[in-house]
Amino acid sequence: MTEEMQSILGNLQQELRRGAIVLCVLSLLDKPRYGYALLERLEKSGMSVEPGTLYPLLRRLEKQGLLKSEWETSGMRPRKYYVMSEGGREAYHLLYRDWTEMQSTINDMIQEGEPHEA
Amino acid sequence: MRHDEKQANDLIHRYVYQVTKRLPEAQRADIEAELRGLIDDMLTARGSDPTQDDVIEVLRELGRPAELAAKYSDRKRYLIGPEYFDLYLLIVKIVLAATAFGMALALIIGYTTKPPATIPGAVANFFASIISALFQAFAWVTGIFALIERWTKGSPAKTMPWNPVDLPPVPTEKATIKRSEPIVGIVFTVLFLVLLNAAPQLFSAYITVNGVLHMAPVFDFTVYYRLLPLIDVMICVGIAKELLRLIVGRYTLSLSLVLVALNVVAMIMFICLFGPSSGVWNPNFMTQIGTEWSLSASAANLWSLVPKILVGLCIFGNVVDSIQVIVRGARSTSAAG
Repeated sequence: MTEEMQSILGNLQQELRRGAIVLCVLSLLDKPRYGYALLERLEKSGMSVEPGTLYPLLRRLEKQGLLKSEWETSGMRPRKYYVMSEGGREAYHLLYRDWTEMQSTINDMIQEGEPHEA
Repeated sequence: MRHDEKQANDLIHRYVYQVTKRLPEAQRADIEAELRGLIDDMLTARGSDPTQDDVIEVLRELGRPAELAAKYSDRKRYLIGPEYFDLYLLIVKIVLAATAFGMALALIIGYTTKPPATIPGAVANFFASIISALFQAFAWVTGIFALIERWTKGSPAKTMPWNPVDLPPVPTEKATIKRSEPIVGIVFTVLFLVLLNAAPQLFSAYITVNGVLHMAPVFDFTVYYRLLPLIDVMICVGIAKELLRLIVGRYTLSLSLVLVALNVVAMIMFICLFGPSSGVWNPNFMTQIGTEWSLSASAANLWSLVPKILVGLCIFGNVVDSIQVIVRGARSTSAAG
């Protein structure tokens, strides 16, 4: 693969992941977690996200009202815990429904086009 | 060991500062605390006793401070958005070209009428003047577009639902404003603006007596420089007119009405600034020429006619232009309806 093609592919993969990451983050913030714990949890599931992407994303989702946050200062070091708000839960269920629908639609579409590939 | 730890802490401190200084004041403390926590967690994951190399790797993973700060800030990160950018580029090119040409012209004529002391000095002065004028022109155009960008951000035209039925009709041949028309208009107006600001002494009568060049300026410069800001405003009204024609691109009744209104504004300003009651004209113009040409005293009366004639021409030109604009606007509207 040429270098140019690789960078194009990189961009496409990034775009494909961008929306999915929000869904993953919301699904994990059913209970309160702090940024780094979320990062590790995502990585464990094979959905690794760069910290420089996740932390700003958490703040944005909080500003949009999908998450709420609280500083936990009783531990060894202060940590900011995020959890889904009521509105966030609602949005998450709608997004999840969209995701499953899109998944089956895309799978069907790809299988239809399969024969000449196989 | 302790020295190493101190250096590592210093690096983290420097990194966090570079990120937070780019963020809005209100968010700084919170983001700083969270970012420090993240770096701590990342270091802990690498072992209980992080070295400076660990810190370097962690910071590298977080990326350049400016890029990280950019991800945190969701502010609009451009001065002139995609909607106006093409027009902005076009106007910048036109204005820069006209300014460079106008300045070069003004300077060259200036040198021929008043020869410079040294050639190298003149050359240096020539380029320095042109470059500083170009920077000014660029700054003005950019500033104006940045303001337009901000003013039109939440305007009703952008937030109202868009209806395809409201699409303007494809203009007929007659209603289309050729792009070249307003562009030429802008070029000449900017040229005029540059000359009036950089070299008003060009507007003089040039008389050679026994091979010596004498200049009799048309303007009384003490009054002229006092009025210059208003003169500039008047010329900018003219530029605004051409810009509108360029942006709208076709004659409509509403465009015509705005253009006529601007005509009236420019005309009133012209009458006040250059009319018979204005002190901008050099009262000694005729005596200055008269001494060279030995004109009769009654010639002075001739000079007092000049502002009246100019006002007459200005009114005539504006009325003709306004009628033309209205006719074209009305015609395009009736053709569309």
